[in-house]
Amino acid sequence: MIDLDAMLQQKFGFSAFRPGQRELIEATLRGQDALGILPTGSGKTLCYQLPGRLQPGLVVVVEPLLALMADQVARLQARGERRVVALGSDLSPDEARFVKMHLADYRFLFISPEMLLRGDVQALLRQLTISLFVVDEAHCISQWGPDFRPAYLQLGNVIHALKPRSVLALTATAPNRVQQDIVNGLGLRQPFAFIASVDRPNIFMGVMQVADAQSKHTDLLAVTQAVQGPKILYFDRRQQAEEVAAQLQEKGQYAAFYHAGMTASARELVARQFMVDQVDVICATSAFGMGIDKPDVRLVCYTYLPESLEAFTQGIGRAGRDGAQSAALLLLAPADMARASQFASTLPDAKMIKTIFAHPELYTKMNDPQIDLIEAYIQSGFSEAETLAKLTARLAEKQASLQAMVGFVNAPGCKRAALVAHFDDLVPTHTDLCCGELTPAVIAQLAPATAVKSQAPQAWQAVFKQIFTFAN
Amino acid sequence: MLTALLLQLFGDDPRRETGVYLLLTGKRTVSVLYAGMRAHILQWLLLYPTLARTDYQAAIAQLIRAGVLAKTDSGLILTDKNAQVRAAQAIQLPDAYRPWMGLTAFDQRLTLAVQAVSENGAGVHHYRPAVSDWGVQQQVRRWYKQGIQPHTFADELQSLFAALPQAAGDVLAAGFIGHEFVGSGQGDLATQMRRTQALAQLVTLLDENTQKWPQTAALWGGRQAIFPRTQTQIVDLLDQGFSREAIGQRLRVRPSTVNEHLLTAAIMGQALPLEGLFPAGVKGAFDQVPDAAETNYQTILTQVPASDFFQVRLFQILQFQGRWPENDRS
Ligand SMILES: [Zn+2]
Repeated sequence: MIDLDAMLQQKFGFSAFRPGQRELIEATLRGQDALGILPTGSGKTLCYQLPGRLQPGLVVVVEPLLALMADQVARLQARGERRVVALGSDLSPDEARFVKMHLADYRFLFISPEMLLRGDVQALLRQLTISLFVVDEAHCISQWGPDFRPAYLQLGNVIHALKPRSVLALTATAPNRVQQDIVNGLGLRQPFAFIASVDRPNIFMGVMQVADAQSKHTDLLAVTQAVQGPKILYFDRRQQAEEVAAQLQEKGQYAAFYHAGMTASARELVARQFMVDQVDVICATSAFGMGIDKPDVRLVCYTYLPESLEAFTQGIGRAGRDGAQSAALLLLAPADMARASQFASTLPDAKMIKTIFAHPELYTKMNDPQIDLIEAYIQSGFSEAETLAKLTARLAEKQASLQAMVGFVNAPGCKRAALVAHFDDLVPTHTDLCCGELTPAVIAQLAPATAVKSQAPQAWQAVFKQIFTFAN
Repeated sequence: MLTALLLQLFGDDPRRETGVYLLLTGKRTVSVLYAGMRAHILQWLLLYPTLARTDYQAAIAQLIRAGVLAKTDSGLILTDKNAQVRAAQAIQLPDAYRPWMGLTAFDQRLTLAVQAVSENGAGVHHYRPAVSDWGVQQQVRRWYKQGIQPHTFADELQSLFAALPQAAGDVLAAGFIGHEFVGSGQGDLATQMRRTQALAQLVTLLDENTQKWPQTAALWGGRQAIFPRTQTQIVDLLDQGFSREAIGQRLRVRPSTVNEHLLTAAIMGQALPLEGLFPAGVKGAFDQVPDAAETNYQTILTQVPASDFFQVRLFQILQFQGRWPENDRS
């Protein structure tokens, strides 16, 4: 029997497993399928990193987003793992060919579900021993959920064809019926299941509805200045994120903005400035968060109505990962509700679907979520009529997700209870530090956090002195 | 601030919204390049390859709403010169930039190389790479394996930076990530453009004197071929005296493809042997065209009936560039 604790200490530098990790790892090691519902930041990735290092054979990890893949690869690289690669749509044809030719040399393969559906890729994988097949963000398989991804529906067939030793499905949040969709859709065989509570008792659940946009803005700046330590403010418009960051800078805060319109290098730089406490307020769109495993974030604030409770739970889960008292805040003005419902009712029309089906190659990488979704259906082999039918059905789902969100905002009584109930979880008891308005009294009880560190020097000569310490 | 950048790409003459977008993101078709040349914005080809179309469209719509750009049948025109002056103050276009510099990829290689050298120099071999792109990681790994020594690279980079204006060195260093170091750079577009300018100045030095900074020059990799190899082959064969038809047959490409490559080469300023492209009679007829600056190709085609679209367009390109041999004009 392998000493998992020693392995954890040796290879990963952790002294103890977090809840669920050991059980899930043991299940995969004995060849049993498993379903892990673990909140983000609770160490989901260790559940396949560790078995991957213990067993011979390839670990295939299906990731829905390039950014997630890149982050997972970088984490493994940071631990010194070189036999790791991501086979995503961002590789050039030459690079993809090289990776495919050398698949047997890798220990970890991260791959998008669409890429996995390709015949040539499956043929190559069939020749290899797959010790573990991981489906990350497994809730994407559920058409009930807001993150539905058509290609996930085909993963069951892929697993059947590839015959991995075991399958591990991971996700952060999944109500009962989504759990059922995962187990059935992936064809998990008598899976071991570990389902952690979505409730994070150390995160105060702030919900504030203010009279108008002006007071919302005033409150936002005031709360941001009052809460000490690292903070993430979410916006649904890039321009707003930029503007608020500038206003906070004027007030002497170390603020930066982050959104998908920035270059990859700029995003990486800002994310790292936040990680090392050179910046303590990030004004971001939903693009920010993946790979941000900062333990002492004290406030996560949404300035708009998130599309679903799933997205909201995931976002606020970035607060207080160190277990210390932190806060979430949903800060809304009346117009935000209308804006959200407008978003939820926009879906591609039949004409748009027809246009894209006629020339799918012209519409890739348009950076438009609606077009991307249609492209995803095409790549997953759906016909035009099926796509239209699925998208029409999705409209109802999107609106239901939004209704759940609105229900949460307007829920009388305990907000935490309302959130937890949505995920079929046990309802906790309300306390003084549970939910409601984020008042100065609540803020005063938040845990202390690291202060902003000194900034990097401006002159390149001084920078060189710091980064090239070995030079003269 | 995208609006401030985009406003500088419009002028009194109508320019197509899509054409300007395709130029910025690097679509290299004859029509995009030809329009870019006429609008004097060809130098910004590939300046912003990651610009999302939706962001571009939103920014243009905002400029139209603000009344500084106006729609006409043949494209957008600038209606507020002062607004353009203000835009140029908000965001400076990087005038040292050239499309062949391959800056987007070089930026990533430089960032990763600096990190690798900084970490390894400090004795650290496991770190989270600053660039996640697999191809870039492979390139930098290969570069490093050519025998890079941390201190010699640091020395070289130091002397290279010393040859740059102070502000250029500063903005580049602010983007560095190293051992226990994260630069203080910001993510706004103005910074992005200042960084592009600084990187372009650095590449200009490397391009002028590869020997002086060999390790950085190797990391840069020389001038980027922004057009396919077929184009070079076609121009070479033309230089050797082959006709357009013969070139097409030899390389097994369609006549229209041969024409497109030759026009592209001309737009990008390459010298072409005109004798092979314009028989003497046709050349003489072009010399006699009443208005050599005529932009409508149909008009010229009727004035030189023995010519074809290719010749007319090439004539227009060379006229515009001042490269049409005028000696026969009397
Ligand atoms: Zn409560």
